[in-house]
Amino acid sequence: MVGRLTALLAALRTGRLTLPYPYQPAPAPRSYRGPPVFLDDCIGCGACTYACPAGALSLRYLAGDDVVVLEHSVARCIFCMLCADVCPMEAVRRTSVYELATDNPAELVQRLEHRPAHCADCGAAYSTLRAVSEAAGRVGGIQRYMLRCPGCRAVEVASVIASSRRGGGLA
Amino acid sequence: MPRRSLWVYHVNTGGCNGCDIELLAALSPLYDPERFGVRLVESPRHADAFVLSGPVTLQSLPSVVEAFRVGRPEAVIALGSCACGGGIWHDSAAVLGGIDPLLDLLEEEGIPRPRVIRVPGCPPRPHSILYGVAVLLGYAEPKAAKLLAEARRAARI
Repeated sequence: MVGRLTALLAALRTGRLTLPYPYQPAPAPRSYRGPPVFLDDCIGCGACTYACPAGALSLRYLAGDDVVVLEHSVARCIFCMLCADVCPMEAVRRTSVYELATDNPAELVQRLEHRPAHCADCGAAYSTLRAVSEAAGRVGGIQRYMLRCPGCRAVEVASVIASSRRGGGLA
Repeated sequence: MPRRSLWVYHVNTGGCNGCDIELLAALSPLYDPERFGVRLVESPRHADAFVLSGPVTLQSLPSVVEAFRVGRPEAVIALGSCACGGGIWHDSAAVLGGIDPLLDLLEEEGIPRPRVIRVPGCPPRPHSILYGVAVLLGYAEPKAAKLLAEARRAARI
């Protein structure tokens, strides 16, 4: 009896602890790591798709290679921000969104559309126009290789090597 | 989903326990889902809804199918990235890969497809889980796409 009275007194002293959450908004703490968002600075280079441990990011060539879509599945994402680490354009930003629960899986997909770059030789889409022009601006001088898809690029390199007088060197 | 007490049965399908710990935190008096009648029950037979965490490993699959067969839940709350879409185990040979392949498999077994609430996060916050319960019971509307679009607008500045 005395024990219960003590417990009751303790409960009265403490008061109500339960948060009024679903009825009142509760902003996440500053340190909370939510899903990433992708800004228009994205060039579609695909570095994040390689870095993503959950495979939540993918570059897809759609509509007969007429459009490249960077797709991010928030459902699968583990909010590790490795994509933000590797992004060369700093186009991936952390958010603190957490009210993501939904019954519609389509709501949990983020999409960013890009225009594809087509290979100068075979015409296949292999990257995005913005990624190629950005890379050309940064590296420069080797556009002969940059405008071709990886397969044709290898052929081009091999032909340069074969045609060189000494049988080696890329210049 | 009718607004009545929702008894949930927790199925860990081979998860890392991160989501389970957050679920227990969400069941604590601080968040108190018993306000909505949510109670954890010990048997799938007593449950209205299942809380499914983990990527559905092949090791756990027989028990999970058995739980669904006897429980026949009206709804499933897929907790965490693993249950929502496979998470970091999406390409592992030892897992089924989340709720979608599991429900396909259960449909083959003749178990009706329940309503699925996805709560992404690795692990999700207790707030997120509470929001998932609110969505399931109809106290809140799903607003993931809206929030992400807003966050994108805010990040651009």
